[in-house]
Amino acid sequence: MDWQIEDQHIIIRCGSHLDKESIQDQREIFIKVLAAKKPIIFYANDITKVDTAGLQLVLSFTLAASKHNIAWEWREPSSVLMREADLLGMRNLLKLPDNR
Amino acid sequence: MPMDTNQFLQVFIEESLEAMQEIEQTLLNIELDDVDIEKINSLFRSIHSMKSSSAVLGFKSMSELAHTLETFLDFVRSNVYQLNQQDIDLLLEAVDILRLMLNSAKNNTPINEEETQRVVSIFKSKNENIYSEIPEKKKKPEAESGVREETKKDQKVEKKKEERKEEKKETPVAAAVDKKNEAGWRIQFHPNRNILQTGTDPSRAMGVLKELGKMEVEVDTSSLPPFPEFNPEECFLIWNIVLYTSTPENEIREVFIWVANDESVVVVPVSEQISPVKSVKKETAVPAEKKPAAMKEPVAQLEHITSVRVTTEKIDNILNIVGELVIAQSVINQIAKDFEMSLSERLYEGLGYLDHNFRELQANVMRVRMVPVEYIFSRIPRFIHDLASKMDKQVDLITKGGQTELDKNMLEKISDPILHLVRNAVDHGIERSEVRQEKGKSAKGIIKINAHQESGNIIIDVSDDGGGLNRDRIRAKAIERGLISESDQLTDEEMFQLIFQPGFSTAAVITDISGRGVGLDVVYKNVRDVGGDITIESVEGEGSTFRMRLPLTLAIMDCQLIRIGEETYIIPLVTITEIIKIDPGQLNYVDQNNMIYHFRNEYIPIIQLSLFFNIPDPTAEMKNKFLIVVDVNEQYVGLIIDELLSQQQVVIKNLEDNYQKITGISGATILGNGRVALILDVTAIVEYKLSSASLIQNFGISISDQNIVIEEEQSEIEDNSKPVQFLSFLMAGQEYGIDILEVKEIRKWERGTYLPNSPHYIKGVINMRGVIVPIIDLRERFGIESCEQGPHTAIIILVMKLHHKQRYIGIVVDQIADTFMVVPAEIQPLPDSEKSVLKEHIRGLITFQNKLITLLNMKNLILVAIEQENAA
Repeated sequence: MDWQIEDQHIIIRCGSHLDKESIQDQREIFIKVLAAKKPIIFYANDITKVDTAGLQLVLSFTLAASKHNIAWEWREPSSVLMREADLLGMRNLLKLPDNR
Repeated sequence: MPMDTNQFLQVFIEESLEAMQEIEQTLLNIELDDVDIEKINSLFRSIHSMKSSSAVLGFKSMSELAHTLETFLDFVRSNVYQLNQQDIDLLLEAVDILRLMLNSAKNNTPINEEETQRVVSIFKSKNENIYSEIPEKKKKPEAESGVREETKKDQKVEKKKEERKEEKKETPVAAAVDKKNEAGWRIQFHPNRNILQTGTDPSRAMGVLKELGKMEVEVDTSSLPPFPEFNPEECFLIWNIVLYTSTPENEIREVFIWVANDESVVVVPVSEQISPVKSVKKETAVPAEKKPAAMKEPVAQLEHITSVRVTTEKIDNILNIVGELVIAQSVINQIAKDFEMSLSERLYEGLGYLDHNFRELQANVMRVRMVPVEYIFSRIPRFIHDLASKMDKQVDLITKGGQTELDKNMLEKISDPILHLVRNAVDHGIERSEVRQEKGKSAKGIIKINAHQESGNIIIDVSDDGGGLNRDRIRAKAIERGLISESDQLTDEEMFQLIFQPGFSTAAVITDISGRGVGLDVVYKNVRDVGGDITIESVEGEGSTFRMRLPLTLAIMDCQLIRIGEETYIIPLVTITEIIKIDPGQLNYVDQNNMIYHFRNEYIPIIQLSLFFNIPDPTAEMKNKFLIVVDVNEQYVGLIIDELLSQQQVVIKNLEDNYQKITGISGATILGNGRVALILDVTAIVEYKLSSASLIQNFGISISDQNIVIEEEQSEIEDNSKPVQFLSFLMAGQEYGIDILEVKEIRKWERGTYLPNSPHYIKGVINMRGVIVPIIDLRERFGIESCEQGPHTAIIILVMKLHHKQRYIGIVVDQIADTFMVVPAEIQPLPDSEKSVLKEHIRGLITFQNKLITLLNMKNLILVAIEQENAA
């Protein structure tokens, strides 16, 4: 996962893994992103591996963003991400697009 | 409390393997013309359970295969499809693959994905065909059947479900509340905080649930700590799920068995509500008797965590004895504290009490190791089914005595021999149906396997009512192979024993077992290796019985200690019929080498063990000796020994770990004084003495000093510039060096226990902390005149690998000298003119501190000799 500021937005490119193996690094990124206090765009089309740990982290982060009135949106979330978010009942909370 | 994934995995694998066994038995017993639906239901439940568990534990291929089988079995149990023999065979094949997958998971090896997918495809195709032939109105909707039907029409059903979900997008749980009339469950899943660290993932359980029916999930984030305080490796989420399905509650709970304990999952009918998390904890704290029966299952399953099932009775017995031992110990402690000679009697009493309890404890622990022979028997029906099918024969199996218990290690060692005997019975014993009927026999042949205990042994008979052994053909083959001569007169029993010779294993017979190279000769060897023996009874035209007589346990034995010459030897008590003091008047010399003794109104052959083992016998007077009468193959034989010592239990050690098998010696043990005592193989000794020498392998071990090329272990390429450390020692005034990496330890010289029929330079065996180590006198190995041991005589224990096995060998040297570093490039080769027969054992020469040191290749020196002996 990496991030950068572009046009007053924070672009987060999620990479291929959103799982237990990568959560510590991703948490560090999310802390910095929150501190930047800019709207967030997640690019998530490359995600191929997702688990509960990864989604819980993202959920915790987006809830914190909401509290700080920071908006976020998803661009091209992968089907793997959508499926796992559905299974865990997180789709609406994560504001993942509904493209069924 | 953290849940250990590995523990769950082991439990899952063990229980699934047991389930495979039961599934296999059920499939083999299905009557196709009158299918018992309850049996199919039982198969369905087992496969369904395995599907869920394997999915939750991440075994995707296993889950996929189980899923296709489950669908198929659902069709059968719903009377939509009728089973045929081909289906049974396919299901058995699928069971084999599942078994292989479980073993791969156990051993962490890859699975054969191609084979798995092949069988998955077959069943998928079958399921599609069956489904397409079902009249439309009879097709069950997915939610009701609880089985996901893998057809194209499912996609339409799915689409309609998605459309319904679309309408209820905003409040899925609320919408579920409206569906009071639909069958289903409300589930609250509140996993342990550290679930994410155990390797299991709640999303997998959700995935399995989703397959059971329409599911709506809401996640409760109220326990999530504020970001960034929260630890992402802990789980703070709670899930509230509504699942529309007719799946029973216990199967719902089974889905969570690997990811949750009982308190973590609340399941109520969909019409009820679940309280918020805090009060739920109180609600579930109900008295045990009020809990539904299904909730007890997970606990019951987790009780059996070992690979040997042990009754609580055995455990209780052991615990009681441990309690007694604690008492005994405190009694002795007390006596020792205030000890005076007047207390010695009490001390002896206390020691006796301790000894008694230790024996009891030992006996009880040994009993824990005992497993029923049924463990082997259960594999046989399937084995016979496959074999008989291949050979177009009809065979029935009758087993008896499956509850007879045997030491676990013993069971593992005789499992293959028994299967091979069964294979032999099907292949060579039982005739084809038409042949049997011509002979007036029933079309179906019968194989019987019977196990029972008898006098400290277990007897296993494998018998058939087939054609029996043809004595004349065996004799002709034996003569052809040079095992006997034309003039040899053998009893039936001796003749039948010939089929255990290697020459009688026919390579033309191809089976699963013979593919691993197991012939009757290997069966014989395996049985003998565990201290047993095997005999044959056969009547031509009527059938054969192979009888294995096996000791109950491999590890510990009740024994009689005896003295022959200066050494103590051990004879297993089970082999002894009687012990008598020799009456020289009853002894008769048949010739110079053979004696007989008048015992119980018959003359029995005698073997003088000191002569047999070439042990010097200073006491030639027979009247001071004892006769141990043994019963071998229903014949009494007397063994002359010098002295009778005590009886005791001994722990059996394997001699072959570091040396080799010595005929006549079945193992070794370590006595209370730390010395090694050899255990006599009474049967081998007697058989050698009484049978034709040509039938039995030579006892003598020939020594050859010819140059032998041994296969080298794969080793790293030596870096000649890297210094190597050597240890040097003195022998007959010369200094020799050996690679220090081959040195395990250095010990003061001690006399080894004499090893009969071993090369002259083998000076017996010693005890190295429980390991039996042979020692070699290097002087004698080098052909140097031997000498008495001096104050500096030492034993260097070497460790080296032969054929990928680590072995210990001791060498006796005059004195340890020094250690030094050598650069391999500086090692000089031995001059060509050197004619030493041991030239190939010398690595080279080096000069160190103005001394010429001969560097030895110890591996060549020692292990070549052992190789030669093995080949002799």
